[in-house]
Amino acid sequence: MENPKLYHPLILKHNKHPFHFFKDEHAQFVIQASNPICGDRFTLFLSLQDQVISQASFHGYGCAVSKAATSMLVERMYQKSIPKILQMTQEYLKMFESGNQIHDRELEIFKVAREFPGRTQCARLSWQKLSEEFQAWTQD
Amino acid sequence: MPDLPLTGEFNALAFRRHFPLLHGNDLIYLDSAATKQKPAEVIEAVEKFYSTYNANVHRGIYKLADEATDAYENSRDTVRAFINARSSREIIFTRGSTESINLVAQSYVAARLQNGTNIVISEMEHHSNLIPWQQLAKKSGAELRVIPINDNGDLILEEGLGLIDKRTTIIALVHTSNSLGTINPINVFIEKARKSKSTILIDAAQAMAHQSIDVQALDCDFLVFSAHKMFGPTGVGVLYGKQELLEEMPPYQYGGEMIESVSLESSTFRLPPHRFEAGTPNIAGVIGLASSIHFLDTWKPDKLGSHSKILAEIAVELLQSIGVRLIGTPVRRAGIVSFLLDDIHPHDVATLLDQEGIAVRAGHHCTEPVMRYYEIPGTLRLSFSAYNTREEVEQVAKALPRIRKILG
Ligand SMILES: Cc1ncc(COP(=O)(O)O)c(C=O)c1O
Repeated sequence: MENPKLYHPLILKHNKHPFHFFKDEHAQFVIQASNPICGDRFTLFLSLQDQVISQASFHGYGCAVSKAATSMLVERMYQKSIPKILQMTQEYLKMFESGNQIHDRELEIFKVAREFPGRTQCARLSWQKLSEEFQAWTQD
Repeated sequence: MPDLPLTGEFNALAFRRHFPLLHGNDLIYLDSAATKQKPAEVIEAVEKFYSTYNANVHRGIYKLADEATDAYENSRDTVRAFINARSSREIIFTRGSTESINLVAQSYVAARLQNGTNIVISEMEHHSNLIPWQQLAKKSGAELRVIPINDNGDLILEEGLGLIDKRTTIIALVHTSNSLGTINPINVFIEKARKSKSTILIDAAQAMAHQSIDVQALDCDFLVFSAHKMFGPTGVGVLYGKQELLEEMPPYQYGGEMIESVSLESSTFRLPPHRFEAGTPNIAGVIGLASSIHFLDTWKPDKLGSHSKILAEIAVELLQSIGVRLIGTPVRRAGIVSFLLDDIHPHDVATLLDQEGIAVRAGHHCTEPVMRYYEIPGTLRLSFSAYNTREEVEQVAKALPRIRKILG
């Protein structure tokens, strides 16, 4: 177990000290991301001001990978517009199929999940859900 | 090291040699409750069928078809003998425990339910012995009553027995819990069923490879199990039912093999068991099942079960010395141990164990109500078979503190 490949130090760090890990009762938008198969369940709390995310936090339960992926998503949303976030989530999600490099190189630590049976879903969970929600909003 | 029980006389390594997937392989396979590995004998029986006497059953006027039909029907008698049923007419081949339960739900129970009747199950049922009843209850207006469990993962007997009354149409109860490892006192419930004139089905999916089962001694009405959990092939299983009950039941599916005569307007159906086996059955699977029973007969389910149980006891001791949270500390335990390592997610532990060549299961194990009872999303589960060794259990115990260091 010298090299716990799936668990990059940054993933472990976010698992232990997740970014903005709290329930925000004043959030404008509350989005649930859950995987019924493994029981992971996160809630994202978001607020917009002047077309950009002004407040973001999350709460819930999941494995180290899904928690870190959600934490790093929340961290990246600040001051970004919805179309911008959508672009980011779509690029991230595509990475798991194509294996390609992405702009945000730090996020590539999750790419290795593809090599672990059943674990890609952990890295994708919150990103996928947010992407779907934002896609629906931009189409309304 | 705590004082550990010995694994007795059983030679797990000799047993393990029968399993091509495990023999000469360092894989530590601890997911036998999900499915067992297959011995060469079973693999060869299936292969021999396909390569030397493959034909459809019950319809050929030629030797090969006769041979296939004989092997298929002889397998029925092998199953009959294995569970000591009165007649091989009481043995129905299905796709597995799940289909066997659904067959009873649709063919026997559905027509007998109405407002005021009830179905009794337990809180520790596998989803396959919960959802069919839950849905039937919803449709019919019958009440679904649930025997509760306590913190140890044992059924609360007095309360459970109190749920059974004259209006109980069926009691459907798991023999051995696949997530808690509990071996239930099914005798007590069968006795109660006889007193209240209810019908009782036993889900023996986890029991067959670990102890001998005698349906006449038990006096249960239905018993279900899956071949793949007893060293046989996937996609085949058994419904045992008392002949007088099976005879009352209408077909479950319609098609070939199950009819007596057919006109465009109407059909008459064969007697059980063929009435319930519409279409071409899983012939190779059934033959493989018979072979797995011969294999079990040679090694004796009770011996295999007691080895698995000893491994579970060793695991419990080692896990306790590491300081895990055991989920389920039942009075009678099978070779199954569920636990949580601190507040580390079971999937993370399972992934790291996998990296060390240890295959364990993480999740709710198709028993979500049990997880809800303990207010947890899932557990790590070690489930043993007789090909596992004490050294393998020790490997797990050694890996856990390392995992704790990484993820804790
Ligand atoms: C207790 C129990 N009942 C029923 C089943 C369902 O068996 P199958 O999937 O073979 O139909 C299982 C399988 O995990 C089980 O453990």
